[in-house]
Amino acid sequence: MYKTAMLAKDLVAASSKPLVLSILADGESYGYEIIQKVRELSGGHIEWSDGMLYPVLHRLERAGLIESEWKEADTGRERKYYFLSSDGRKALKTERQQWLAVHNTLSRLWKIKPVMI
Amino acid sequence: MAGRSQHVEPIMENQTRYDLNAAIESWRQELAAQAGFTAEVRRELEMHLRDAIAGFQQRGLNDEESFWLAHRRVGQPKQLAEEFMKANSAAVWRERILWITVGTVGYYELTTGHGILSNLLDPFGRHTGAWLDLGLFLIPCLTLIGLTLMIRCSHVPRPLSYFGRTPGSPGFLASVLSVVLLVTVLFAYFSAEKIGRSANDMFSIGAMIVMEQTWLFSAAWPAMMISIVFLMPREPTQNRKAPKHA
Repeated sequence: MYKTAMLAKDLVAASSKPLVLSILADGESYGYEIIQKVRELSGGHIEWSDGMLYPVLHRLERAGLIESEWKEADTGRERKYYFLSSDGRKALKTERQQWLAVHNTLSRLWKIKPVMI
Repeated sequence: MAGRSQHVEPIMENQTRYDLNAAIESWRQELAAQAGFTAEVRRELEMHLRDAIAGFQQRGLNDEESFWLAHRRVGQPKQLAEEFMKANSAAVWRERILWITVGTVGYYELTTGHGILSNLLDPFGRHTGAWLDLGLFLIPCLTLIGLTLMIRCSHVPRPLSYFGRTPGSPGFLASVLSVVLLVTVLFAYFSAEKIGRSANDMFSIGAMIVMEQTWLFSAAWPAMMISIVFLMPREPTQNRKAPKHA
């Protein structure tokens, strides 16, 4: 039985930054929601372990790319929301160009239509 | 037979009723026992666990199944702690150092408070430096209250971290504090030497060191605070680790 392989470990690590930044570019979000979104959008191919996301978020926060704020959620408890900083927006732009460059190179090799960067 | 099992079911359920709050509480305690987490991270992870449980409950799982799956997914506290220590050791050290500072300043306040109060209330007003002493007492006192509140609410002010542009690490910070201590002790030793031969035995030197501690607590605590704030390690924007296999 053939099943599409899950993303390799180093690819998961490398793609976590552009994924988090892109999700937050759509608006503020919190850890659990980010993981759900990635699972949903990747069709289950990218499965982040929940514990791994938070070190990534905290690293991005210390690098000044995202910011956070404790806010009351609808359940009445406080939740830590993350949002993109202006540095983060710039970093996302660079990430996007780099990932698309890789994507286009592979697309040409595999004879798939490249996309505009 | 079917009727009988229906009759038994509610009793069975009552006997094995699952206490979700107790399960979360014990998970929390397990998490708190690990050294790698700051209070804020623990709060964040707990909220994540609760969200995950709610997610499974919405899909029709019962409390026990939801908790089991959610806590499997979040990860074992021990493994989690290792992950966090790797990625976040600076934050953990920052909180530890803040607590050490609270302890140090608190000790200073307790030991000097009485003397300062009696100097101030001295009816003969012989102690001219009393107001300076009071200042040296009040400023650390307010800092102590502020620091404790900060740690209790697990809000280490973020704007402060932007000042930490000097490349520093928890190890560097620890070295600075050790140097401060070493200099104080050496200073105490040599000033004891200067005073006279009488201070040459270990007992007198010990007494001098105790005296110099007063100097340490009144003069070095702002230095400690400043080091903590300014040397807060800040992650460089560029990832330091280059991929090994490019």
